[in-house]
Amino acid sequence: MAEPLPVPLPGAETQSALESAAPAPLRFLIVDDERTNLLVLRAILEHAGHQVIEADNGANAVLAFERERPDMVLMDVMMPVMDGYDATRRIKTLAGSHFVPVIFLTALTDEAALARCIEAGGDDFLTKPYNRVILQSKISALLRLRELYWVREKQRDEIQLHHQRLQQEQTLAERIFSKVVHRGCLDNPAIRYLVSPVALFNGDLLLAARRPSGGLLVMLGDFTGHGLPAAVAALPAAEIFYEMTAKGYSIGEIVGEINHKLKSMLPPELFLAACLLELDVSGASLAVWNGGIPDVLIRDANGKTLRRLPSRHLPLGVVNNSGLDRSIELARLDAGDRIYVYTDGLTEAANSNGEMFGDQRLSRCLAEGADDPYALLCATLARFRGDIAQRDDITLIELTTAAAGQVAATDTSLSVVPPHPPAHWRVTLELKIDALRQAAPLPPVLQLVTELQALNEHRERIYLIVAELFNNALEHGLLRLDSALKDSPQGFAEYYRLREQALAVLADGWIEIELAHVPRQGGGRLTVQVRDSGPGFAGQAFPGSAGTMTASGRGMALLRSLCKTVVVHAPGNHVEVVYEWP
Amino acid sequence: MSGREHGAHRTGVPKTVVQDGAMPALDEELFAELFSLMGENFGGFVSVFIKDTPVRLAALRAAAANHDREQLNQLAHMLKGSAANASAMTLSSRCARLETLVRDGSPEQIDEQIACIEAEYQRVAAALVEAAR
Repeated sequence: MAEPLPVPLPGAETQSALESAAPAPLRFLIVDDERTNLLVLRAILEHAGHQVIEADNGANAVLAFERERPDMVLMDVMMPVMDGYDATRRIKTLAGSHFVPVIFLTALTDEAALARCIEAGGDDFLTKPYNRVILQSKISALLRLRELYWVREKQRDEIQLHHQRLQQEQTLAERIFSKVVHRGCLDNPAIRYLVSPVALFNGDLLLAARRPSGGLLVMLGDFTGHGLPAAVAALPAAEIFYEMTAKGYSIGEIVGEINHKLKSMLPPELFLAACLLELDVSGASLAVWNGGIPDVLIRDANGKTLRRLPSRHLPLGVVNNSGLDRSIELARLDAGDRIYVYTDGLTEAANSNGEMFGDQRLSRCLAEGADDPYALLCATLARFRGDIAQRDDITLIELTTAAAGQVAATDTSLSVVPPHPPAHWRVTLELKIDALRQAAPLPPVLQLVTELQALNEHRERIYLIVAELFNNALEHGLLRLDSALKDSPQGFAEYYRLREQALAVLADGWIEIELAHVPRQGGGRLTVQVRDSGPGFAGQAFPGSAGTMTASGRGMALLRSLCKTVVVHAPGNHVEVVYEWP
Repeated sequence: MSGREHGAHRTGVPKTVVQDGAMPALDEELFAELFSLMGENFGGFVSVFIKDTPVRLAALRAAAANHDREQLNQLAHMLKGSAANASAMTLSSRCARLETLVRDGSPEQIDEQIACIEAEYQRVAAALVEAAR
C-alpha cells in the first residue's frame, strides 16, 4: 500500500444512527471461514437493517476492507491463509486515525488468547453461539464510541487548522513588528544590550535613534503583560519615538505624545513603564525621564561609585496628559562612565531554588566588572538562571559615553525623501516671549528647512548650528546665565533649574532666526543669522569664546568647526554663520 | 417452508427436536432463536451445515491418524463454534472436551472422543434435517 487510504468522512446518515428511532444501515465486513457462522451473522445483521460484506479468511478481509471501507468489522480468530489477529492489525493501520471498530468472533476462553485480540487492535468480543441481543448492544456501544472519536477527530483537525493559521499570522505580524520597532540604531557602538523574550513578541520595548544634533536617544519600555497585546501597543509608541526623535523634539514632548496615544488606546490594565535617556553628542550629559523602570545606574570608570536615577514618574498610559509630569533629570557624565538600564525581569530572574537575582548581585557585578562590567553581568546572570524557564522578559542596556557621537553605518532612522530640488530662498522666523517659553521652538524650524530643501545629509549639522546659536541667544543673550556653572555635576542641574526660572520671569524679549540658501555648483550655501533682544556682550567675553572644550564651552568651538565663517556682530547679540557644502 | 406447521409450540419449534431421556441434540431455547432468525433461510443453513461438517469430521480423523495436534486443536475449536451456532450444544461441548484431550489426553482417548463426536453429529444432522423438512 503506497499511501494511507483517504478516510471517508462520517456521513450524515450514519451520524444520525444513534439519534433516530430507525437506525440508518451500517456496512459490516464479516470474516469467518465457517459458512454456517457467516449465515447466522448475516441473518442477525440484515434483520437489524444493516448491509453485509463477507470474507472467508484474513487476507480476503484486508482486500475487502480496502475496497469497501465498511463501518465495522466482525472477525473470526482462527482462519486459513491469514488469521484474525494479523488481518485486524492491517485493517487498523489502513483505517489510520479513523475509528473502525473490530469485534472478534470467538469461542476462545483462555485469557492469553483474548489478550492477543486486544493487542491486535480488537475493540470487543462476541462468543459463539451468537446472540442477537448481545451483538446489537455491542454494536450500539461501539457506535457511541465511534461518535466520540469523530467529534474528537473533528476538533483536533479544527485545532490544528487554527494553530497553523495563528502561527502564520504571528510570523507575518512579527515581520511587520520588527520593521517598525527595530529600525533604529541599536547597532550604535555606544549601545550594548541583552533582550530575551518570553513570547514571540517581547513585552519589553527597546528603541534607539540618533538626534539630528548627533545625540543618542534610547527608550526602554516594559508593558504590563507580553505577547500580542504588548506588541500591538508597542507599534504606535515606536512610531512616535522615531519620528519625534528625528524631528528634534525633546524627551518631554516625546513622553507626552506617547502617553497621550497610549492613554487613549490602551485598556486600564495595560500600560507602559518606560525610561527615555538622551546622551548628548559629546557624551558629557545624560537626560533621563523614568516612569516605572528600575533605577538608571551610572557607574564611574573604575567601578567605585554607582549613581542612581530612580523612577520619578508614573508609567505611560496611566494618567491623562494634564496629569503627566514631563520634567527630566540631568546628569553630568565623566569620561568612562557607563550607564545601565534594565527591566525588572533582570533582578527578578529566579534560579532553581526560587531565589531572585536581586539588586545586590547586580551592583556587585558592576563594581567588580573592571573593564567590562556588562560582560560580567551577562555571564553571572546566565550562570545564576541555569536552564530555568524565565517568567518575565529581561532587557538590559549598557550605554558608554566614549562612542556616543559615533554613527552606525546602517542607521537609516533619519532618511527622508527630499521633496524639492535646492533653490534660492530666505526665511525669517521671529520668536516672541510666549514662543520662547514653549518647550521646543526649534523642531518646527528644522522641519521647515528639510521640507524646503534637499539638505538631508546636512540636516544634523544644520540643526546643531541653529540649536547652538539659538541656545546661546536664549541662555546668555536673554537670560544672562553663566555657563561656567555647568562645569560641575551639581552646577549642571542647577544651571537648568535657573534656566527654567529665568525663562519664567523674563518679561519680554525676542529671538530672530534667519536662514538663507544660495545654490552653488554641486552644493549650496546656507547663511544662518540669529539676533536677540538682549544687550549683547560689550566689554565681556562672548560666551564660550574661550574655546575650551568643556560641556558648556564647546558651543563656539563646535560652530567654528562646522561653519565656513562665524561672525559675532557687535554688541554681541547678533551672530552670523555660513555653512557650505559639499 | 415454515416451522410453524410442524408443531403447536409457541416459538414454532418442531417437537421432534427435543428427545426424551438423553441429552437433547439441539438446545431448545437456542434452536428457537436460530429458527426464527434464519426464517426462510433455515433450509439453506441446514444444507450448508450438513455439507461442511462431514468434511471437517474427515479432516479431524486424518489429523488424529497423523497425530497432528495443532490441526486437531484448530478443527475441534472450529467445530465447537459452528455446532454452538447451530444450537447443537451437546456436540459443541464434546468438541470442547476434545480440545482438552488434544492438550493432555492419550491418542486412544482422542480417537474415542472423535467417535463420540461423529455419533453425536449424526443425531444433530437428523434433528436439523427433520426440522427443515
